[in-house]
Formats: sequence, structure tokens, C-alpha cells
Amino acid sequence: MLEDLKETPAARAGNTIPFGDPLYNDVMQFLIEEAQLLDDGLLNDWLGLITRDMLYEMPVRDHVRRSAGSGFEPVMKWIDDDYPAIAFKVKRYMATETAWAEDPPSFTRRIVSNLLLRTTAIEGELSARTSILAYRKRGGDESRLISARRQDVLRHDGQGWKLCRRVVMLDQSVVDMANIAIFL
Amino acid sequence: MADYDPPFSRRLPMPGAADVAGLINRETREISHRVYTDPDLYELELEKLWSKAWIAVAHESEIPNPGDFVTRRVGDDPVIIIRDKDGVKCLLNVCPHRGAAVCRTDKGNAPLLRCIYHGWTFARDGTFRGAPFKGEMYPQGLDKDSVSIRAARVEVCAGIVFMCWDEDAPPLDDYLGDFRWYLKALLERTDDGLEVIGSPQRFVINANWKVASEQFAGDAYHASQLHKSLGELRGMDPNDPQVWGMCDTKVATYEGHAIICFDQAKRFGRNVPGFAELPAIEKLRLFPPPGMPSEMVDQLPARFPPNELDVLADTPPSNGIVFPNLGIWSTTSMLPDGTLTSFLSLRTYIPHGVDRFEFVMWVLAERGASDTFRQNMIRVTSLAQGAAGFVEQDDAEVWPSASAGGRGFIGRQNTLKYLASSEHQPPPNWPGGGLVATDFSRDDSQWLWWNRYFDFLTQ
Repeated sequence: MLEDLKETPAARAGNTIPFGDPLYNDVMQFLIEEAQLLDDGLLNDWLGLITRDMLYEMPVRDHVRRSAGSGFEPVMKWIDDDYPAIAFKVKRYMATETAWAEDPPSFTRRIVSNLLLRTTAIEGELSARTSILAYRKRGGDESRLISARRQDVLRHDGQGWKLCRRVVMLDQSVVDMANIAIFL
Repeated sequence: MADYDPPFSRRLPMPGAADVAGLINRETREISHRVYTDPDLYELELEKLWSKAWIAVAHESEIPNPGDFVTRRVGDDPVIIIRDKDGVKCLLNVCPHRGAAVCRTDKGNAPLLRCIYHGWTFARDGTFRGAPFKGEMYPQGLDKDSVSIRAARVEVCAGIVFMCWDEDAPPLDDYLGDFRWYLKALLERTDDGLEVIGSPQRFVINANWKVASEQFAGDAYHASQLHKSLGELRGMDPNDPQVWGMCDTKVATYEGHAIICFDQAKRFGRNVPGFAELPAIEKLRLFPPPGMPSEMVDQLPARFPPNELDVLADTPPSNGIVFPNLGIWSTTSMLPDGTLTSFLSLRTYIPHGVDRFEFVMWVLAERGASDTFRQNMIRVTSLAQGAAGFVEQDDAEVWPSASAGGRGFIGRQNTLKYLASSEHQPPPNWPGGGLVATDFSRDDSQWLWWNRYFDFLTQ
């Protein structure tokens, strides 16, 4: 499943849409607005930005020798959610008053950058690789920084861009957070 | 309330056995809150518990080939679990020469173990093999025993690799005692056995390891409150203890192990009219043991006699702990869209100092299960359990404060209370041992976990 994420010749086959291109600006605008919805806790609005065939994955990673590769697990994941699973989590946070992991909610700040945008084999779908640095503050003196590579697929539905696939590749093997109760 | 005045609120330079024994009140069933925060007690645990008890460190399927290894921790000690030609070994991941880590990755394969610092090499059982310029450096020779890597005892049970530093400790079977049958029912169900899917999730929580471990020793009581949101979303009556797993069969053991056996009819009977009257094998076809594809269910009768098969079908061992820190969670569950599915995980809670622990979670499936089945096990298990699971997210939220509350001078005088006790009367033809209660989910199994903990610390 992660095969297509490696920088293989096949993955590079799409044309790069360069920095400054109107399409590049359009997608970057989308990603900035998406991050702000999450930072502002507007999870139901965020849910409106993802497609019904959305897949959200976060693979587990090990520290291995350079010769053994990146260490990303081919099968085991932190998260392997489809749309109903994501919608269930959003509903838990927003429609109940007992989702304690995020109530009171964390203070978060997502910095999304380093967008590399490419066309894909599918008309109307773009591949977007970004870096994300997320700050999360819970109560007391608990705060965490987590960084990751994100590999998204975006689809234009005539109205605007929607997210239809996201793989979050953490820069951690042992995750330094008590839970992953925020969307990255 | 118990009169937990000094010495409990005083930090002692290094508590002796008598001081430690005073942290548990066996009459009133209370534990001093200091157990979660006292750094001296933590030091004592390293000596009396982590270097004496049998500790689960890996699953044998993680290291299928000779030379395959994973690195883990036991107490504060780093260890290597490596497959040798004649079985699995567990070694201290510390070079006996100048102390560097011998294995520096989370997993890998090594024909020989070689320290990067000065290049000493060791066989997979830790035996010294050689050193660069050995003749010039050590013309007098080297004593092999003192220059070999420290090795622990290893026993594999139900696929789980257990290790123990103590040469005088009783064998693993004695350590498991009454719990041995429950491990068989949970994990030894087919001819080929279970395997771990990929690498485990590993994440750290700022809480004492015992908060998570004692919860897994049978705390059904917290579910209806801490996990209330799930009931709100699924329309579960918050006042019906039956739907919250509080009226199941619960096993406590004097060895400190515990398991809750979920009553399938109470949980899912309404989904299948006439469920209670079905033969065991039909129930198991409808609700295969978690991690088992339904086509493998026919293997069960050859391995389990009728009374055991009934338990697997009606009240399968589901959620519990092998003392001190191996949690097992094997449960049929309902997905957000209403489909019934199952999840299966093993987890260990490994101390990283007194107020921090690492949560390691493995997901399992039967060997030979299809890729689709395995992927589904990961999807469902990670949705509910582990760092991102909608259930365990909330546990990780409460454990740090439940732990840190015992830090302050006044907080240290608080006690953790295990006041509720049950009548123990196993159902007819019950195949497993231990103290079996069917009346209501109370505190006995967690209380016995603590008793076992104090037995270790005061021995």
C-alpha cells in the first residue's frame, strides 16, 4: 500500500506543478484552510472537505538500519480509517459531551509547508506531498510537537478541492503522545 | 478510612520491606497512592519485581528466522530478543566491555552480535566470540563468562516470549498457575497458532505503569463512565450494567492474573434471535474467536472438549492481564456502521521511570488468514484500541492524573480503594481455575493483582 508513496519512477511520472503556478496556489490555499478548520476545532466543517471514499492512514514505523529502508510498516498502522470511521470519531468529539481525550480540547497549531504538487494518472486528481509540524497543548504542563510527512490525494468535484486520501508518515517510532486524538 | 498517617506521607531514603508492606492495608482493601509516584518504591520494583518475575517481551512470530531480533525494555533494562538455532534468547542489550548498546535498531537480523564501540562480538546466545586485536590486547586471555552478554531465562507460552532474570524463580507454568488454561483458550486455538501482524504500536504516557496494568486486571467498573461517549453514540443505556460488561464472568487468581469472560448472549443475543439455544459450534461460526477466520472454527472441537467449547462460545475469555504488565484484549465488537466484527491485541505497559510508561500494542490474527482479514484486524483494532483508538484515547487521558495525584504531600495520604467484593462460585463444568464470580463485576481481581505486587516487593 505504501509502494506508491516511495519516490519511485512511477510515482514521479506525474508532472510537477511548480511553486507559484495558479493551481499550486489553489491547492496550498485549500491545505491552509483545512489546517485552520482543525486548529479552530471546526471538525464538522473539516469533515465536509473529505470525500465519501476517503482513506486516512498512519503507518507504524521502526528504527532500522539504512540498508533496511525507511522503517515504515507495510501493514501495521496507528490509524486505518475510512469515511465512516472518521465520521464516527468526529461525531464522538462534537456530538457527545464525554469524549474526554479532547474535552477540554487541546490547543493546537498546524504548520503545513513544503508542498510538492503533481498530476496523477487520474484526471482531476492531484498528489500533494507536504510537511506538517503540529503543536499540541493539553492541560497542565503537557505540550508536544509532532512532525510528519503527509501524502495526500486531492480531487476537484466541480465546486472545489476535496481530500480523498491522506497518509500521515510520522517522524517518530515511539510516539511521544499519550494518544493520537487529533487529526494531522 | 484507613489511618494512613506517617510513615506513608514521608519519603523514606530507601524503604525496607516493612515500610513497603505498610503501603497496603489488607483489612480495609486500600493501597497508598504513593505507589504511583514514589521514586524509591520504583527503585525497589526494579530489584524485586522486574528482575524476579516472568515478563512478556515479544511474540515468537516477530522473529521467525534465525538471527531475527527485536529490542525491548524490561524495567529500566534494555533487552534483545533474538532467535537462535535452538530457540529464542533474551539478552541484556549492554556490551559487557564498555557498556554500549549491542543492538541499536528496533528490529533486524544479525548473524552475530557486534558492538559498534570497540567491536566485541557475541553469539546469539550472548557468548563471547571475539574482539579486535584480541591477542595483542589480552595476551593473558579472557574469561569467557565475565565477557559474555548477560542472558535471561526464556520460556515461550501460547506464542508469547516470557523472560526472567531470576535463576531461582519457579518455571513459567507455575508462575501462570490457574491462568494457563485461559491463555490456551485465548491464544492456542488452532494448529498453526496466532501471529503478530507487522510491528507493534509503541507510545509513551506520562503515568505510572501500574495505573494501566491494574485497570486491565478486571476494571469493568470504569467503562460505563470513562467510555460513556460510546454509549451515547450507540444508544446504550447508561444505567444498564449488563450492556457495560459488568455482569460477565470474572476470574481472579492469587497469582495476580485476571480475565473477564464476556457473556456473548447478553452482548449480542438481541442481534441473533434464538442465540442461546444454538449448539456451541454454531455460535462460534456466528462469532468466531477474535482473530480467527470463520473457516478455521472447525479446528476448535479437536482442541477443546465440549465444556471448554461452551465457554469459548458463551463466555469467551476476553479482557485481562498476565501479572504484572501483559494485557490481553480479545473482543467481538460493533463497528460504527453496525457490523459485528472483532479485535485482538496484546499489550505491555513498560516503565520508563516512575511517572512514564511505554504502551506497546500488537495486533494478531491466525496464521494463514487472508491479507484482507489481517488488514481488517488492524483497521478494527486500531479504530478502538491503542493510541488513536476511540476507546483507549480516553484511558490515556485519565491515567496521568490518576497517577500524579499521589505526588503531593497531602495526596500521598490518599488511598486507592478496592472495597467491592464478590461471592466466588464458578458456573457448572467451568474448565478454568481461579476465583470465578458471575454475580457482578467487583474489585477482587484487581485487589489480588495488588496483593501479588506486594508479595513481590516484600519477599
